[in-house]
Amino acid sequence: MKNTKKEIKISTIWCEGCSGCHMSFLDMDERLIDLIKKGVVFSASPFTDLKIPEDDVDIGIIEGSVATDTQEEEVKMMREKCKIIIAIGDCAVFGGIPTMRNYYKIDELSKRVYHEAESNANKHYPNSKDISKLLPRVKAVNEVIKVDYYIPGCPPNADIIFYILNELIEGREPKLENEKLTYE
Amino acid sequence: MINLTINGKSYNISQEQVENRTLWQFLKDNGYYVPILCNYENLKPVGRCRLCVVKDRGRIKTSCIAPLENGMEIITDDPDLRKYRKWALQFLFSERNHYCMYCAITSHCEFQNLGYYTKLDHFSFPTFFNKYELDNSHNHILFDNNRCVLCDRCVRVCSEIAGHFVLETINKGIERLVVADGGKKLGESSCVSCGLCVQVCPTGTLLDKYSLYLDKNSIDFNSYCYLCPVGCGIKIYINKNKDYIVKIHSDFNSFSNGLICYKIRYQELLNYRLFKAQQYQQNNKLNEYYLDNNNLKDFLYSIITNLKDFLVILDGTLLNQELKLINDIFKNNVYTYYPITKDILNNPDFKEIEEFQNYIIINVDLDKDYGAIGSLIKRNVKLKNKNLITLNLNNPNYTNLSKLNINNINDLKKLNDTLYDNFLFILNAIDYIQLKDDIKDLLTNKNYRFLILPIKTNDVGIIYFINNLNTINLSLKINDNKTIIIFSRDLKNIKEINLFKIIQNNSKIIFTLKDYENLEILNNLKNIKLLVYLPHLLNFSGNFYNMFNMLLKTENIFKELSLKDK
Repeated sequence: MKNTKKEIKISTIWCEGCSGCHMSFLDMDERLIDLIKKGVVFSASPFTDLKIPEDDVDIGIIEGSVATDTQEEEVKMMREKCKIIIAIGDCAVFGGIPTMRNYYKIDELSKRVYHEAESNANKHYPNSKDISKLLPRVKAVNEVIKVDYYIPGCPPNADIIFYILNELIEGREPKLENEKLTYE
Repeated sequence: MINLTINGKSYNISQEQVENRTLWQFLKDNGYYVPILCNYENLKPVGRCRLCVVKDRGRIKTSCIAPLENGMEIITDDPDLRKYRKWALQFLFSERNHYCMYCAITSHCEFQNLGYYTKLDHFSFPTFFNKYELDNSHNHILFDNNRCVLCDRCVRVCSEIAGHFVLETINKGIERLVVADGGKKLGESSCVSCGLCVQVCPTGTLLDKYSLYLDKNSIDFNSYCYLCPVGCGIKIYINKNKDYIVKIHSDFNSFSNGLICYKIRYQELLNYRLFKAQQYQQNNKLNEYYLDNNNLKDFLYSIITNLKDFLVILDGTLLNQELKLINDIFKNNVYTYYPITKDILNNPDFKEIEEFQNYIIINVDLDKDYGAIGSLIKRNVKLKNKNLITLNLNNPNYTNLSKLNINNINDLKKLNDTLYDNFLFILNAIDYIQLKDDIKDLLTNKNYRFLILPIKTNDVGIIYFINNLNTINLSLKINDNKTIIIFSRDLKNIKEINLFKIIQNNSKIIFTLKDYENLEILNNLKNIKLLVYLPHLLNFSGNFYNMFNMLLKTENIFKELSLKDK
């Protein structure tokens, strides 16, 4: 049987965040099936566990702020591969809780965490080449790339995520206002 | 007469209405919503936040500081204005730590609501990170400069309304900071904990430690403070399920114009929470009855039929309804343990107090006992350049302000030769009775009036409702056979004047409030025949007279719960 519907690819990535926004994303529950019925294909996402999205993604969802060089690259890659970028959750939109480290220099921070912390017995700073480097300051996603839509909230409600995705799929312009807009 | 149009609708305003009114106030009075952050009620507008911009004939104007002019054509809302407001708000949001999700006042924050109003869903700039110390030194207030938007509301309310002049700003530009007493920690400063700064703060900078995270969907009641004879207008916020009081604010629309002191805002809030907690602890050995006013009458009659020789002592902590009832039943056997003078009825009112040129405070620490009057005097002395003279006062908040500090009433004679005139004497009722003749002798050729501060809240009610009130020395009236009936919500004061020592051997019937301080005093008392608990004034609708002879009403805030309390 031939699928006559147009395929809409959605990919998500998770930067410096707690994964709460992805939980909220999965909280759409049976509405995820509604989306799939409308032609949505979740490529790189919690469903497939692929880390690198395909090249022709329609909607890219970014959770979390940009705190390391790897995350910066990933976010730039998303911009190249996705037609629409949605920043989801307070961390991606404003910087959020990870920006608390912006009050300190990286040296101070790693000294405290790896040498002075009471729970750390090894007193060893991890310096493997595979570990990404911390950026001097944590940034919101829109400080690195252009973002098309923002969904603030910690985490945003699944209803709001569904509303935004559904409007985009139906070809309408989503509007975040009144009770849909919340920072909590 | 000036003409102007607002969103196409024309208005004619008389010259009287133009004066002392800015464009923003005019818009607000006529029902137009223009967002604002830095202005609050009757504080002097400073035009700092720029959220109140409106269009006048194509030009952008900051409406809170724009005077009303003839021919204005105002537009209060259009896409352009929304854009400007959004930009102004973004500058404020991105300057310090304004992440709502971990703030104690999220969901009932003025600043956050403005974000929703302007549909701000992201910041267009990187945020600025500059760390300021969190000040947790104050008993009731948490002070976090990291969330400050420098609207100066707190600084202005502390000086213009409260008259304490504690908060001020230091440094310039982005480094600007609100500090107490030029850089001290709040807890170590001269702050008197009136809490007005917390009330007006539009962000989570100044936080009330007792209402952190509690204030979601609270309901507010207007009422009057019953803790001192001033009777300031207050707003009580209780949670949606009516279980507990969230916070207590002052009412800027009442006669007291937003004045309030630590007594109701923090002390009583805390006491009431203890009082509530205690109702669940039933480990009290004393014989107890809990009555509200409905069945008090029958109960009092049943007492009086069994008594032959008795004497009733009461104070101004009772409301008019209770006083009337007591007078009806006990007739001429009622006494107060402190003198009350009918001259209280001649007190100048709030507005008249502000018209005097010289204030003389005798013996009373206004900050401690009559906070609102203290605010009134301090702000007049400092902002309107009036003269203060203190007599026998050690509070540096007043003595530092005063032109003359004297320790002897006779020194008032010096004033006869000065150019000062038009004095207001501020003193409590006991001092007034002792000193009024002396003052009359000492000040011969000057105009003066008295502001007599009653000892307890409803002393004026006692004047009205108790017949033949006798103020002769009580100890002469008491003999060993008499049963003493005491009505007072606050036994602490009766204890201070040693009345309890005199009546230690008499059998006693005590009507009082069930709170920790009273219980402690009661536990040390002998011969209590009967102990009856009066309703808490937050659980009781009644009225009282304040020192300005105004009839004020207290609200029962837990209407449904009052039955359960018994």
